[in-house]
Amino acid sequence: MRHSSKLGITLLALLLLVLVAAVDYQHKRREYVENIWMRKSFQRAVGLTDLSITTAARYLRHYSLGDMATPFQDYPASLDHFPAGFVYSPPDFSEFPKPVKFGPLPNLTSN
Amino acid sequence: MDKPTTSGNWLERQRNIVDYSLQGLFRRRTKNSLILVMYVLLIFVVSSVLFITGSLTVELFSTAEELPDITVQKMIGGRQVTIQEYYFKAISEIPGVEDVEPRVWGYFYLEELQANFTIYGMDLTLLEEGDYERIVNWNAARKNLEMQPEFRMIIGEGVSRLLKEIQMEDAFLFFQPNWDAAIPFEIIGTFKSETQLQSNDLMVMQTEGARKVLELKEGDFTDLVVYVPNPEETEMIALKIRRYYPELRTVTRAQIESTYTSAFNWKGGFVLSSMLVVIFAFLVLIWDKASGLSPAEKKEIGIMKAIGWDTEMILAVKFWESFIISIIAAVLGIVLSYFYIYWLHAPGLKEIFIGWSTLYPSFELVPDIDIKFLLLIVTVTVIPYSAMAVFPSWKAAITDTDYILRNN
Repeated sequence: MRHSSKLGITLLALLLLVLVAAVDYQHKRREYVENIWMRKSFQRAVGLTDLSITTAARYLRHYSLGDMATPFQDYPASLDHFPAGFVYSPPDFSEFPKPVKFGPLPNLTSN
Repeated sequence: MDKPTTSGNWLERQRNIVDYSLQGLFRRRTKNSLILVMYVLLIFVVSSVLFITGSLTVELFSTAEELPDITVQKMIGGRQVTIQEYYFKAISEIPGVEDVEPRVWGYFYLEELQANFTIYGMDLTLLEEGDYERIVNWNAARKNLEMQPEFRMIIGEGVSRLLKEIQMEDAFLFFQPNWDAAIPFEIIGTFKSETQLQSNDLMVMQTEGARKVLELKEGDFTDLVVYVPNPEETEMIALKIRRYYPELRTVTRAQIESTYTSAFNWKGGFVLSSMLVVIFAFLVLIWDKASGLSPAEKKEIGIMKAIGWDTEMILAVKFWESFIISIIAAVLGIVLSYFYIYWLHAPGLKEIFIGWSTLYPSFELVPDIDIKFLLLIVTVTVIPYSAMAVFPSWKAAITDTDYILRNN
């Protein structure tokens, strides 16, 4: 058999795998669409955020609601030591209370 | 002068060139096999990272519109503390606020199993109505009206699996050393597996039962959720809450969605480190290809030139050699990573996300494949690799044949 024929058979086998993956993809997406109402109902009833991927620490379990200090709370200058902390980017802290303001001191003598 | 004869039509010529290219690949089968394996591995890693982070992001966003509009926490010393009841009335009087609900929830650590459970207090009768009833596999104990309502709970699948190990699948005893007595809770149902990614570690019980387990004082709550019917007013109401009460922190739904968007983005340690490793490995592969041919390959080109092959056909042979390896590697890498993530549930990779948890879901993820990303992977890997093979071959093909054969 010519080498190009063997290549053709290999490419056909790859195409078959791609087709199996495509069919499986469609099937899983259909299942997801049929069952998404369950996830939404659960979310409406229990309003907690985030997925239950890791329960090693509370700031990893409820990632969006964590405060700034919790990952580093064990002692001053402590580092995040949970391996799962490596996976996530920091959450949105834009509305965190900011009692400290940097800049020039206010003029206490002005009215 | 007569026109030189050609070997059949264009398709037959290309097939002959492909045959010759494949023979060349088989002549150096060890080296080319290793290159193929490495190439498949690189694309497998990139695709796996993209698939798993894409699927987790889809799962996060699938229920984002059902999140509360504003979550209010109290902060002291930069840490979250319990919030008192008087904030509830004050916030509900802000114009535009439809409803304010105080929540009692927290965590319970079971030392024997080294597991952290999430405890959530709510009115369990809500879950016995309408759509909510269909998200729970109810036990026979649900009908036992003699049990006090505050001592019933519904648990997630992960909790159920763990409690079966300690023969507590029907009822669970909460106990801390400083308590006078243990508190028994009857398990009346388990959340269905379709909600596993959200409910896996959850124990949902009546609010008063949760307050006892979490040892929250009467009048104290974990946080408040605020419902605002007009989404345009959410930011203003959140700002008002923060201005009236500087010790309170607000987390709007938009912020939570922003966190969801960036949770697994390229700046995160996991994605960035995986991509950097893959990019550098691929650059090494391309550099090896572009840095020149081996003496044997140069001699082969010299002989081909000597027996009458023109430069165009030599370049076609070299291009097909690289293209065949790269296209097989790209398709195989992507397909294998699909089966690895969505059929095998990412063994090895999911442990990075799970970390030290003893309670984790089965990672049955919904596939989310963006064709643009796949085309990008294929384009960024196949085209440079195939192109890099052509340049050193072109250099050898235009060099004097006599010089090549004498010096190799």
